[in-house]
Amino acid sequence: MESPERSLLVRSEKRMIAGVSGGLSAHLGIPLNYVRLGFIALTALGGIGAVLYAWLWVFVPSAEEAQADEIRSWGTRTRSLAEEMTRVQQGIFRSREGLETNSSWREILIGSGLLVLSVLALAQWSGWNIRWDLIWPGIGILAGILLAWLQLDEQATQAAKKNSRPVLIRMGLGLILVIGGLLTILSGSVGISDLLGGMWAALAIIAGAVIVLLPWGTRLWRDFLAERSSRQAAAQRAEFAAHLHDSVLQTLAVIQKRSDDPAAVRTLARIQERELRQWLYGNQDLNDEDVVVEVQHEANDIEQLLLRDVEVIAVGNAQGFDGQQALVAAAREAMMNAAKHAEGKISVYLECSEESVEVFIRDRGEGFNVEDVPEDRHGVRESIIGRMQRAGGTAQIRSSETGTEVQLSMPRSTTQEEQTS
Amino acid sequence: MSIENSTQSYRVVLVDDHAIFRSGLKADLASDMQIVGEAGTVEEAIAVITEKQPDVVLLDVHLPGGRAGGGAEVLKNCADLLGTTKFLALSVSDAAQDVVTVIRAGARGYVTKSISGADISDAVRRVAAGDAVFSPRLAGFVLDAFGSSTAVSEIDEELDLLSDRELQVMRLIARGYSYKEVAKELFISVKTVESHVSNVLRKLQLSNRHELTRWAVDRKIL
Repeated sequence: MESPERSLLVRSEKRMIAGVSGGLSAHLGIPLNYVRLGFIALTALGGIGAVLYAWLWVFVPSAEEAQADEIRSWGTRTRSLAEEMTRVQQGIFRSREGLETNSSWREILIGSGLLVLSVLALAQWSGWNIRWDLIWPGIGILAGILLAWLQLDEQATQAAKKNSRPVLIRMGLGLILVIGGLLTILSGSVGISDLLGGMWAALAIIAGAVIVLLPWGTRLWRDFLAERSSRQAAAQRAEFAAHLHDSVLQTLAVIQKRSDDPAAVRTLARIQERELRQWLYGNQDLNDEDVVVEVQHEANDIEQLLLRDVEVIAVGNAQGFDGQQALVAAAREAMMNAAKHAEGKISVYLECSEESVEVFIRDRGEGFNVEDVPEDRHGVRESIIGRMQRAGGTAQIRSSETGTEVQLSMPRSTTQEEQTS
Repeated sequence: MSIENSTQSYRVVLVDDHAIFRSGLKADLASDMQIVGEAGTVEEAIAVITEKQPDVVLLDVHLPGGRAGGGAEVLKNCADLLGTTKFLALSVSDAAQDVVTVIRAGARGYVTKSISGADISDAVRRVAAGDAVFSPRLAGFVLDAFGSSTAVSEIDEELDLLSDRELQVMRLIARGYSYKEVAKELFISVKTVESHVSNVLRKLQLSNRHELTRWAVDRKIL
């Protein structure tokens, strides 16, 4: 890790067998397929590649292990106490211990395997008759089984289907190793022709069994799917019920208590409506930092604070542009003024185009003359016009006896991220 | 409003599955609205509308029955009446998919249920006179769909682009301006505003434009 831009040597999550090649290619900056070809070439040269691969497999930590390590050493500095406590509860430390035992288990297994091999080699050297023709296929079978069964473990933890191809390859490799090993052992005691005949018989038996059992199998599978989806539906229903209880039923109770106050009832109903609407089909696809969400949030705030109706219509969306904060703050100030000084509905229209973001705040009050506002009143002059100008935007106020409209415009010079719709 | 005509009364059918809302609306509607029928499901609605052939149908977007198509299904089944009977869609929801679906099925306008009795009576008169009723929300959807800053589009598609004037009108409606205020702002007559809005409605209903489709698909509407 002398050079900072070089990534840690960890076993990659993109993997065919154990992720060694992927990790190596990320670490050395060499294309993945070259690394793989290199291993294959080295394996062809007397098996060095396979040994090197196995060695790296044992001693290089996997990406998840490294990540857990990272979390453990850095987490305390960046997280608050509460988060830390929940993290402890979630058992991150426990899982870390689990990983340790897991990897030490792996080392013990491989060590003892090597020990057994060397004992066998010693025994043969000292004159015993060791059946190597049985042991090598046995090792192959074991390796195949391990390779295939390790998948099971991983599929249970990450139910992602996206990496099904490498899983299939590893399953196939394991299967070939096991079948090849078994056939090699059998071919020692049974003639090749008998073996072939037996294979046909075995295939016939398997085919027959599959035909008979297939309907049961599919039905079991379908039952399993149905059961799983009904469990998901039940969980969703529980979530809905919990939400409705927390919000709607509580509000209805308050409304019943305050039924003598029409204004309060109306506002409560309105706030609840907005909240429920947001929850049911709100801007779930919009980021929290989006200007649309921020203005909506301010509008909700003013609605609750001053018990007024604020309708926000938004076209397009934008975030991360210069002056966004100033725009939202000025919009809030304008909505606040409208709510304080004017009767009737407040309409807010927000339009995000490529060049600029504009906000229009309109009320139906009596109107006022901007020049008539005394010097010492900072609301309009400072918090709206001044704020917008300092951030590079403009603000205009048009007022007549049928209402006032504040027009805010902020040019979009830099855009970090943008999803135009 | 210029459309108001005290000698004329409007035959109205209410379609909504909530009886409470129907009775509340009946009490709220102006005196020149004559309720000639009510319905609570898709089948009832189709039967009542076909029998009574009212001037205006106040149609809830979400209705039980039928093939679960709600208000849009009623509209599809009454398509041959669209020339004489006008439909005004009502909904508690202002979700884009509800609005766009009923409008494209042939409704002449869309209002949310929180609208006041006077406003809804006015909307009924307007729809009955053949105009379109656009709430600020609907104008916002239109602007979103057709893109206020539409990129260069191909020539054969230019026909159903919104004109600059129509975009201006839509933007003002989205900003909360009434038709009268829009007319004053743009120095045109209310009639001209009405015809612009009707044109936009027609384009929204007939348009197969790439942009609209893509917008709808993006939001999983169509």
